Amino acid sequence: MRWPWIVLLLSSNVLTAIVILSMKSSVFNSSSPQRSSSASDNMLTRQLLHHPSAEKMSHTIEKFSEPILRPLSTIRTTKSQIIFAITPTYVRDTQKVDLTSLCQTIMHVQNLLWLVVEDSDMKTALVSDVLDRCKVESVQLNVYTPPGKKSISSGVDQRNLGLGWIRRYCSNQTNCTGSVYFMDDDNKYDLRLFEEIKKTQQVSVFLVGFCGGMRAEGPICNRNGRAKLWNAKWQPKRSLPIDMAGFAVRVELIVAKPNALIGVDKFGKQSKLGYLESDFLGNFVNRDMVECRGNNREVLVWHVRTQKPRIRYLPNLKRAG
Amino acid sequence: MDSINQPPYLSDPDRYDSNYHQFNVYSSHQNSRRISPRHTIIESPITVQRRTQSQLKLKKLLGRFGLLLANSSATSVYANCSIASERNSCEVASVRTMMNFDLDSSSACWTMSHTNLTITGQCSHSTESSTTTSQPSVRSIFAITPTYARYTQKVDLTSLCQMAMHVQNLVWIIVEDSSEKTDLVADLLDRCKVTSVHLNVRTPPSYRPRPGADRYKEMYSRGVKQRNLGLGWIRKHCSIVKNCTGAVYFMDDDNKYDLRLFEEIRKTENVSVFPVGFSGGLKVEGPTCNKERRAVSWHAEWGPDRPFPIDMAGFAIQVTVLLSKPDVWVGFDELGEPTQRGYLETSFLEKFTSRDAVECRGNDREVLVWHVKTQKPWILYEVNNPTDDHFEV
Repeated sequence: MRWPWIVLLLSSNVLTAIVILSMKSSVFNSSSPQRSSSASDNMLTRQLLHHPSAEKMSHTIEKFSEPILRPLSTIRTTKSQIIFAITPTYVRDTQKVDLTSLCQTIMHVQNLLWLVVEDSDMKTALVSDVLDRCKVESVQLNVYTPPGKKSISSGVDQRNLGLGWIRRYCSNQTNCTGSVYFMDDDNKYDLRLFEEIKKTQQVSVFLVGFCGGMRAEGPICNRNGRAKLWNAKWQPKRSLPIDMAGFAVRVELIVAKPNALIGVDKFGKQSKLGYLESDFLGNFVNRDMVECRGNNREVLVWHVRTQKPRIRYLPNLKRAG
Repeated sequence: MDSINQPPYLSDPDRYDSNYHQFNVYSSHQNSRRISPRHTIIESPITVQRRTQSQLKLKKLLGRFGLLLANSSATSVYANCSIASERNSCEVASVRTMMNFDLDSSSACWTMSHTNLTITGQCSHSTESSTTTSQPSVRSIFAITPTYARYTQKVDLTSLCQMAMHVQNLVWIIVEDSSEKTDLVADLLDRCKVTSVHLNVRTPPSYRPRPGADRYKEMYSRGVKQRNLGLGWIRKHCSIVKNCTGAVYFMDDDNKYDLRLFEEIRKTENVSVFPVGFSGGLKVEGPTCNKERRAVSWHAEWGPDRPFPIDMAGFAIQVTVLLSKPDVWVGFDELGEPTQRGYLETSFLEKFTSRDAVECRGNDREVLVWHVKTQKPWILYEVNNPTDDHFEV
C-alpha cells in the first residue's frame, strides 16, 4: 500500500496522481495471489462469455476458478439415471448446519451428483471440509455475485454455473442420462422425491410445501400424470407457478439447449421476480406438457429456512460455528 | 415408578400406563385409531433363544407362532426376543417390537420383519449383516425426542429420520405431546428404517404455554413430561431386558446433528458433555476440553452461574448411571417442584455428577450439534380455510 503515497509525492500535479492511482487499484484487484488460474483459458468460461446475455453476467464470470471434483470410488453403471443436484450456497451462520443436514439426506440416494456452487470468489474451507467428510460424489464450484449486482433473486449465477458445468460434462461423457434438480441447501427433502425425479422423461413438477404463502404450492395431478389444477395463490397467472425446488428437467434437454439459463426467458429477456421458474421451463415445455409427480396427499419437498440464530453476545469470534 | 418421592404430575390420569405393553407402537386398540386391519395384535411374551441352526428346532420354536397365526386372522405377533449370546447364532436386537415372522424354508435362517426394523438372522458365519442395528457389540444409543404438532413437525422429523438411519444401534424414542398417537408420526415411523418407539403423553394444561405468549418469557419448559416418559420407558425396558447398556441422549427434533456426535456419545462412561452451537445467545456454548477429557472452562453468557451451563442437547448419560437413581426426573427437583426455565439440564445433571467429574467430548475446533430451529413458514393463504383437511404437510 506504499504505492499511492509514493505516486503522490513524486507527481506534482494532483490530477495525474489521481489517474495513476485509479489505474493502480484495478491492477491490485486482479492480481491478488489467492486467485486461481485465469478464467479465459477455461472452456466453460468461453461458452458462457459467448452467450447473448453474457454482458450482464460478465462481472461474475471473471472471478472463476477450477471445479473440485470428489468422485466416489464405486463405478457407476452406464445406464443408470443420474440426478444432477445443483445447490447454490452462501456464507451465513447456518451454512454448515444446512450443508451437513443435506449431506446426510443425500447419502441415502444412489447415483446423485451433488454440485455445490458457492457464492464466493474462492472456495471456502468450510464447504471443502463438509464435502471431504461427506461420502457423496460432489463437485465444488464457485462464482462470486457482488452484493450490489445481485439479480432478481439469490443464487441465479450459481445455478447457471452449475448448468454450464453439466453441459460441459455431458459433452465429454456418453453415459449422461438423468435429471437436473435444483436442490437448495435450506430445503428439506423426503427420500421418495428422488425416486420420482429419476422417472422424469421431460420435465416433472411436484408440490412444494410452505411455498408461495400456502401449505403446499404446485400441481394437483390427475390419473394420467398431467397437472390438472395448479394450487397457487401468489401470482397464479405464471405459466408454471412452482418453486425452484418443484421441478426436475431431463439432462438431455438441458444439453440440447445451451442457451437456457435461469434468469432469462427463451427470448433472452430478463425475468421478473417470481418468474424465474416459468421462464426457465418455458424453454422446454408448455404448461400442459409437464409431468405431474407425487401423490396429491403428501408433500415431498418443503421450502423451509433455518431460523437465523439469536446470537446476542458477540465476543465469541474465535470459535467456528 | 411408585416411589415415595414421585413427581406430582405422575399421578395425573393421562400419564403412561405402568403396564409395559402400552409402550409399543400399536399396543392398544383404545389408544390408537391407527390400527389397520392387518395389524391385529396378539400379545404373547415368547422368548426366542437360538443356540443352534437346525431348521427343525427353529420350526418347533416358531411352531407356536404358526398355530396362533393359523387360528386367527392375525398376520403379526407381538413378541419379545432376547439376545442369543453365541457368536454363531443369530443375534436380534432386544427391543420389544411387533414382528412378522417369515420362515425361510430354503435355509435355516429366518427373517423377522417389522414396520420399523428388519432383522435377518444370519445363520452362516458371515460377518456382515443386512440390518443396521443387529450388532450388540456396538453400544446402543437411546435418543429421546419430544415432539408436538406444528407445521414443521413432519419436516423436522423426516430430516431427523434421514440422519438417524446412518447411526448404528440407535433406539429412537419419539414422544408426542398429544393425547393419542397421530397418523403423521406413525406413518413416518413406518417408512423410517430406524428402530423406534412411539409414545405419547399430553402436557397438562397448567404447564402449557398460553396462546400468544412470548416463548422466552414462559414459566415452564417444554417437553418435560415427554422426556420423562422416555426415561420411564428406558427404565422399564432395562428392567426386563438383561445387559442393558448404552447412552441416553435427548435429541430434539429441530436440532441438527453431525454423525460424528454419536460416536462420541457412544463412548460415554458416566456423563459426557459437549459444546452446542447457537445456544444461549452465543455461537458456541459449552465446555472447553483438555486432552484428559476434563472440562477446563465453561463458556456461557446466559446464566453463567449455572452448575451446568449447557443445552439439553449437550450431554449424554450412561444408562447404568441413569438406572442407579430411579427417582430422578427431568424438570423436577427433590421436593417435586418444577425447575425454573433454563435450569432443566442443571437440575437433572447435578444429581448424577458434578461439574468437574463430567467427561468433556468433542474437539474445540468443531461443533457437532447445533441448536437451531426451522423458521415458522409464511402461510398467508389457507390459514382459515385449508383446502384439504387430510392433506399432510
